[in-house]
Amino acid sequence: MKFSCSAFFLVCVLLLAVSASASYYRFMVVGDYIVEYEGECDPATETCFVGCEDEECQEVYYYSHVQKHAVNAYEQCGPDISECEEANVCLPEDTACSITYCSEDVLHEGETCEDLDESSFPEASEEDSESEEPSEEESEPMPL
Amino acid sequence: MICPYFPEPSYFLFVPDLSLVYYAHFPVTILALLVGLFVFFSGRTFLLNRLLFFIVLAFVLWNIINLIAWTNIHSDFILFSWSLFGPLSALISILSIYFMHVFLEKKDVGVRVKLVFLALLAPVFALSPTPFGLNGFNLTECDAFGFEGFAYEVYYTSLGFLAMAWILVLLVHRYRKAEAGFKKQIVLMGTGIELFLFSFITTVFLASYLAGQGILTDSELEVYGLFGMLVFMVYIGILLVKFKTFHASLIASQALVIALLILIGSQFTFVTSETQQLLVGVTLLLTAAAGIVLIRSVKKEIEQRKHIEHLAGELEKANKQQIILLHFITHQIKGYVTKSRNLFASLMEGDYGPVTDPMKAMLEEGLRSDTKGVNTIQEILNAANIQSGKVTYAKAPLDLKELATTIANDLKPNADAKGLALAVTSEGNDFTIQGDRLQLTNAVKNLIDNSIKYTLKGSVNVSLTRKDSKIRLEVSDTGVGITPEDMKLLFTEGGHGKESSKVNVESTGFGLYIVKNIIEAHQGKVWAESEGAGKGSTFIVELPAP
Repeated sequence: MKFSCSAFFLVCVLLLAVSASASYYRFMVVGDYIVEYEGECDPATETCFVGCEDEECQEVYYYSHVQKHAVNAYEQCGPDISECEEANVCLPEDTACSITYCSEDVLHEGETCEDLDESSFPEASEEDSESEEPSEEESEPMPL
Repeated sequence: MICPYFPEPSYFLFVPDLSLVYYAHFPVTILALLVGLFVFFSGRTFLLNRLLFFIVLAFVLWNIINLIAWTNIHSDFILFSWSLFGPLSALISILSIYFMHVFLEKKDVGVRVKLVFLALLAPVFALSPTPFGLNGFNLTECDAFGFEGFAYEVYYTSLGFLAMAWILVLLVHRYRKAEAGFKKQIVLMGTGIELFLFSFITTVFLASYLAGQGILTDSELEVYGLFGMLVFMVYIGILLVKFKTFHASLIASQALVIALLILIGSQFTFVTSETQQLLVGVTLLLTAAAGIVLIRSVKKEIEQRKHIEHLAGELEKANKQQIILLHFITHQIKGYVTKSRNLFASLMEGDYGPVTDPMKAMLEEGLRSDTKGVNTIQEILNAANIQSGKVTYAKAPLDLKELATTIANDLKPNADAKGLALAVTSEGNDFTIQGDRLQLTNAVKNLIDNSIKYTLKGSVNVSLTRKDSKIRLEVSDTGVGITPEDMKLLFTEGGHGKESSKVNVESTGFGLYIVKNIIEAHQGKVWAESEGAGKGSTFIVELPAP
């Protein structure tokens, strides 16, 4: 095999190795990324997203979208955020944190807001947009 | 961080309810790896084999990390795996272009093209670990679709489509120039790799895009794209078996049987009832049994074929030795006959004393016979030289009319002796061509001489015409004509027509074969026309005018 051919393969493998190492360092060692999850939401005080507990949607639950830096989330809750109170609020030590409550602007396909129409976005929300409560979106990069 | 709503996989990769994912990943991965390894070890020194192996390797790695992304619940590990999707799919795209270049041109690409490849890959490797690649993870959905940056959304996919377009252009361009045999290979390989890239790139892009938009709940759609590799590997198998494209001597029946077993066996991943499992098990056993019989019979066939190839090789060797021997003998005999002819000529000219009338008749017969013998041997030698490619052509401007007239004048005594009229006519003035005088003299002389030999009464006419950029020389006669059966044998090596042999028993059968080779070496063409036996014939030569 010619030198230029071997060199090409070598450069490709090296680039891949460097790229993979950098990714490994970023994601596995430093944890430099955002995690998003469903945080707790009180429908009495906030406009929450509504989720179904079962297929028939007999029981519902309320949630908000929380985004935190993975390192902060890990420091506050460990690997599992599901039983962690700190995961639902932005704390002063968070380097990046936001909690998003339901509004037309942030609704995705298949999502529903508590105070909007019960049907899905976008048709229902467009029809009812004038009668709705103003949407609340709290986006608060911390520390405060 | 872990995804709280998903179960931890057992043995790192296995979770329930993902049968389609396993069915798409395992058979395709194993089959691709088997074919890749088979091709690689069949000819690891060949660049084409290596490139296919690297494509397969990148695809297999992509599949493994894809499976990890599907089954794992640790965000850091999934993101690390996810970040490799881009570089690997980009590598598959670029290596596919490289592979097709080597396949079509049968040689490595230049340094500049390699630099273009690296330039296209560089942004992929550079962006992959940065937020332009991925910047977050959704623990609820356990994926990163909503966090794919510019690199994922635009660049990686564009590279895939660029590869498809690049390969298509290469295929069309090369197909036009290819020989018939290679055209079939181009179609097979081109269809295979384009189908693979199209299904792989398009479905992954669509799955990623639609899942990112929330239109699809997951990216299950992408697993269908993996079957494109299955199609590609089937095409590779055909190329392996039928065309020996990868220099693999072993027939891929083993690979075919193994692939079938994998495909059937992988059905265990989604069949649920005991009856279905039993049916799949029985099918697997029957296929295995039939596969063993198939492999054995193919193995036997391969051995027989190898034996035939060996015999053919030996035969070719013996033929070559015979040709060398024949050439040697012909040369020697030509020397003896030439010497004898010169002796007759000297005696005829009275160099060794006065020649009496009875002696003169004998000497004339001896000279005629030896001259024929020298011409016959020369014809055989010329044909042998043409066949072995030893003939070289020194081309220079040449007046074809002057050449034809000179030859006709030389052969006029032969025509007169048979009472035939021989004439040269022309329309127009300029009959200059680029040609080798010696070889073209040989060709034209052969045609006129043939006409004289095969014409018992009447005439032989040589005519020259010029039309556009072509000069046409026609030698027509009122001779024995050519039957449709004999017409097929004209211009073939040693071809004797049934009817013509009756008229000219001394024909070597090499004359027109030599003519055809000489004319074609001048980018011209030669053919014959005749209405049948006894209706005369016309030999037409068409040569390009400069």
